[in-house]
Amino acid sequence: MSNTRSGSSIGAKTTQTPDNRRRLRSGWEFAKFFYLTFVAPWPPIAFLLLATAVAGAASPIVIVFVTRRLIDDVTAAGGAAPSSIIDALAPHAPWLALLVLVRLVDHYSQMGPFHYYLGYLLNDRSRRKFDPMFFRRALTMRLEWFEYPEYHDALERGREPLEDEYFTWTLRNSIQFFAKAFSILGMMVAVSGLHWTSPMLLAVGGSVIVWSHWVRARRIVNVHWTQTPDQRRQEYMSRLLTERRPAPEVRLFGLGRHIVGHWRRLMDRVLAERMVVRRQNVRTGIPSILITTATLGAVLLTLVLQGANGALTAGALVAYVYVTLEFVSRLNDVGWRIQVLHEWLVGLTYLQSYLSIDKGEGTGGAQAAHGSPEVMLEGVSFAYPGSKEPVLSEIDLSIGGGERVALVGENGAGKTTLAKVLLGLYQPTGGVVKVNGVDLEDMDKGSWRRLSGAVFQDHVRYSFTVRENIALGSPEGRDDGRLARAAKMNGVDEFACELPDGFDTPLGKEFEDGHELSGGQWQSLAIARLYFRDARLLVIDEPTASLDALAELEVYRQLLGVAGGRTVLLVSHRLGSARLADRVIYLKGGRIIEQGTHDELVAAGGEYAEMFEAQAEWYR
Amino acid sequence: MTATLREIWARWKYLPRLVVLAVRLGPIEMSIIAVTSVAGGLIPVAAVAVLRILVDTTVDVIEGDGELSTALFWLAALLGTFVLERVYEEFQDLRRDLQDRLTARAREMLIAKAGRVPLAMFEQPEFYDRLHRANESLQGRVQNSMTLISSIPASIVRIVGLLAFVATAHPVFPLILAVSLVPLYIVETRVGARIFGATRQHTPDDRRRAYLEDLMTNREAAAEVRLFGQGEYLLERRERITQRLRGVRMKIAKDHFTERGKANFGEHLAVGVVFAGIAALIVQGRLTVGYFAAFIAAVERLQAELSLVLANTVEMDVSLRYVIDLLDYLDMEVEDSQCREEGQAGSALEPAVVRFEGVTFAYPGSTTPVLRGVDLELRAGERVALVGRNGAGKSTMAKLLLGLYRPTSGRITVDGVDMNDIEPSEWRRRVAAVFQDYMRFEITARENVGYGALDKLHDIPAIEAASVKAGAAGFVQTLPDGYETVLGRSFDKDGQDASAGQWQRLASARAYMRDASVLVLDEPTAALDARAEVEVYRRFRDMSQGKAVLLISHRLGSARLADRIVFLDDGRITEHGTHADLMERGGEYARLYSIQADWYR
Repeated sequence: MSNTRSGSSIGAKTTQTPDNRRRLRSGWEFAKFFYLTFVAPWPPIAFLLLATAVAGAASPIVIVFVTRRLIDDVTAAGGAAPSSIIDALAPHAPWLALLVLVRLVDHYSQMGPFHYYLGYLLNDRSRRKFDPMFFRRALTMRLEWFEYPEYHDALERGREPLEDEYFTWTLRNSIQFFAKAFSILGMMVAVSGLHWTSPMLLAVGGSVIVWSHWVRARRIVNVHWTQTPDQRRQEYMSRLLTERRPAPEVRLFGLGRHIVGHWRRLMDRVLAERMVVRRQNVRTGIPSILITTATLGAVLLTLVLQGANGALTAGALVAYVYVTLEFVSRLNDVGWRIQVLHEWLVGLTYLQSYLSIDKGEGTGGAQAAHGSPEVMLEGVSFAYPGSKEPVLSEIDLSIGGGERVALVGENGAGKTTLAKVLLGLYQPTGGVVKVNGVDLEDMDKGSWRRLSGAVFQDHVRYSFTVRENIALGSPEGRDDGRLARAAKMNGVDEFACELPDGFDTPLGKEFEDGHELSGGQWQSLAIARLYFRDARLLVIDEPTASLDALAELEVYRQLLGVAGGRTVLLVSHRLGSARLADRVIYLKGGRIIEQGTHDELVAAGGEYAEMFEAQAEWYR
Repeated sequence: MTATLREIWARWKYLPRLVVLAVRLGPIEMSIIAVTSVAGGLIPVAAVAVLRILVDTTVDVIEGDGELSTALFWLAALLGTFVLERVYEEFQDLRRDLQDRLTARAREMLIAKAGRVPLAMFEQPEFYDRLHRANESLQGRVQNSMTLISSIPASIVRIVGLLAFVATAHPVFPLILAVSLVPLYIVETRVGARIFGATRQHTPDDRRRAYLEDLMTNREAAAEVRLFGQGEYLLERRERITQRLRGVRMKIAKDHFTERGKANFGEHLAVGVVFAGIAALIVQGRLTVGYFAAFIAAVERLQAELSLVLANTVEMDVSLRYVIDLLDYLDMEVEDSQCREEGQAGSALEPAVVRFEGVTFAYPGSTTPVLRGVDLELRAGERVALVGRNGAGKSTMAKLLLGLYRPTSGRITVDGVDMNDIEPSEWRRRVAAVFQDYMRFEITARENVGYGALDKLHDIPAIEAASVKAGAAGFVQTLPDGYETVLGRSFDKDGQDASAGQWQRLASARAYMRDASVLVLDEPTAALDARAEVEVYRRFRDMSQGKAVLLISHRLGSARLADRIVFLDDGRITEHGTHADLMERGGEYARLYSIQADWYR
């Protein structure tokens, strides 16, 4: 019953990979998104900007009118040429002043310096809203997603808008786009005075340009979309050379050039694909230029013919010529902005689709009870996404409250995976994990997590201070007394006190004043982190792999002490330590093949006994 | 004043180097750009001149003393210049391809450099700051300056042409227009310098923020972050840094806005003055109406071009500051001349004795030595176990032996020759190691092993043999595509996960790929199961002659297999001898050994 439930849910998930390929299908979607990101955070300012853009549309009409009057007046004044400039200008001063003023308004409504500033302000607002949303989402994403390359692609794409000035640029482009678009409309109204066909001709030419830029923008966006995996690989290669951890091996084995070569091949592919799109875009661009020029030519021809018919004054001629040429230059600008804006806005939709990948870790209503939990695995199977081979097959295991269980077995037997399923980090693909009789999937993850704690084999080395490294075991509860005790329990205090700033010494050489610890010291620190957490279920995965004999002894001695009454799952290859457990589970190929106390298993002479012998050999 | 000029010169003198770099990376493209930019620059000037004639001939037609056909001819000519200009712009888009390639090559140089600097660099935050800055500069600024290098010539041609045209009306007009841009230049340069200063100061904060973001989004920390509920804590730390950076940047933006507003005003005023002047000249009958139309267009263009060139010059000036960061980084000293092929195992060097002579080592930036006056001799064919408490300096000593670090004092000699006098790549070809922090390369299993000796990357039998030695062959056989299976699932949907123990076996196989004279095994069994551990130690015991093997281990039972045991305590060798010797002595080693042996009694 429960098998089918969990089985189908992971099945549904595997078919539904986190593909974030989405386009702005309609103008409506475009508008909605624009509203959400730019208007919603700050409506009054957004509307003010829009209003200035709309008002800017009137300026071409005024410019045409003023230019026409000015020229007509100036040419009419002919004949007696005044010798002084003042005399010459005085009668025309009002029109001139108006012309300059209108130009100024026109300019500022399109891209005044305050647009820059507002761009920053809005960027700030949007970032404050989107950054935490993005990272909270990343932090609650189910751990299984990390097994999908598509997830990493989606993450990479969704992250793009979090670049520093992303929203600023998008906003600036939007403002310019709207302002120019409105002023173009104004120009079309202005030329209607020439002939009724003129605005229509300009509209046709304009549509062609807009269409061609739209087509190109789509091509660019599509090619970028497909390049994410290659770019992530490239990033991985460059990290191999620029980060600290791989550095010794890269030098020792002389991998530098080889890795650079790898990087270059990926880069060349990316560049070649982009080049193809650019060539296509030029091929789309040229016919559209010819069409637009033809419509422009038709308007200018009307102008000349109207002049020949005596229907135009010199002033009107100059004014219309100005408007027509300005129309073309702004149209071109609008075209480019459509292209750029499309790219930016599609980036935002990537962010949006990352945010909606799934609802994240279950937050079922059931609260975990306090006290040491009893954990039951009923027919639990687990396969990593995309793999048919199950890592765990039909595990039945019950760990009583306060029981200490050692999990042993060969490399790749599924020990670490079992630990992660038990902790609720992975959802079983079959069967069910029950805590005190309640299905883990129905339980509130937060309350369950507060009860459990673990030291993983690949523990994290936080580049923070020693104190923070320990306190991160229980970030919500900072208690210096408890922290000091946790540090004392496994000798962290011994090396910490020798560091220049004691517990406040930053660790990790990448950062200023950072100190580096040895592998064993890092491991001790990870264990202290667990001690600091007041968990009732402890999962300890290879806690002493890099510890010296004394530290190892200390860890086990302390674990027994700490464990008093707690439920413990110990994963270890040091079989001597398994003796400390109440029960030993021997895992092979994802199945439990032996279990019992250490003495029972040794007496039984099975695989465990054989393994123990092999190790004990060294100490006889 | 002279100080400012000197500063500006200090930046602009890098320009030729950048141009040389660009020409070297794309000689054909750069020459095409040079030629077309002159032609492209002349088109708008022609357009303005044609426009004047068109208007004048049309005015003649209106006034009834001109031929319609003449006007139509000039109309066609205007459309011609229009098409030319747009087509030229279209091809400009292809120029971005060159920029992309230039940036790509520069980035390649950057990462290649990172792969060649001495390992000790990775112990210093300054290195990461420089790297970060160089990277930042590549992301936007270098690309910018590449664009500018190729667009400024066209702008200049255009400006000179338009200025000449405007000057035909009156020579004072161009002067007015040019002067009006001075305030803008000053504002922009000043703001650019401030932003650069802030960015530079923020590098450590930026890196810290990136680190926190990685913790929140990467796979490595995902399990622990979830389990311990660290998310909100990390997010809040990031938020604090962001706030701080934001404050400074917003302040700059605000100042920029107010000052720029003023500067722009002057610019528009100047245009108004020129318009008035032209109107006056027409009234006086010294200019035709055609000039007025053409001048509106020309002044409009000129204004746009001038502010573009100005913006570009400022941008270039600011960009050059960043470019200097990049070039600085690229000038960093590398480990060796790299005149030989990398990554090949084997060399003429056949070391018989490696000797540590009073070696003391402290990490850069630290005054506490990790090793203090270590003397040790390692002979070919000898197996030495290096044991000691955590943090005693074992792994550091191994890295010194491998030539990855250089002693702070004392020396390491190879057959009597100071290791400093041996080309590092030469020495490294003779050594191999399994590190405690072995790498997990998310590539194929074959490459994971083959990386041990790149010249045998496709030599399947050699790779198989090394895998068998390391006990990795069994695991690889279970993979769907055997050695061609990609490991790790970040990049490939057919990628396969491997457990820690399996990864460690692959790391060992990598070390076995080379026929090294000196082999370092740093806790090679930490993640291995008991059976695999036995295999590894057995191999250590039977290690072929002629090799010097250094085994670092906390599994003291394995130390018995060594010819000699060296006990390191707080950077000093305190005990030295065979297992039996040391047990008899009853020192620290004996104590640790019996603690461990107790588990198995």
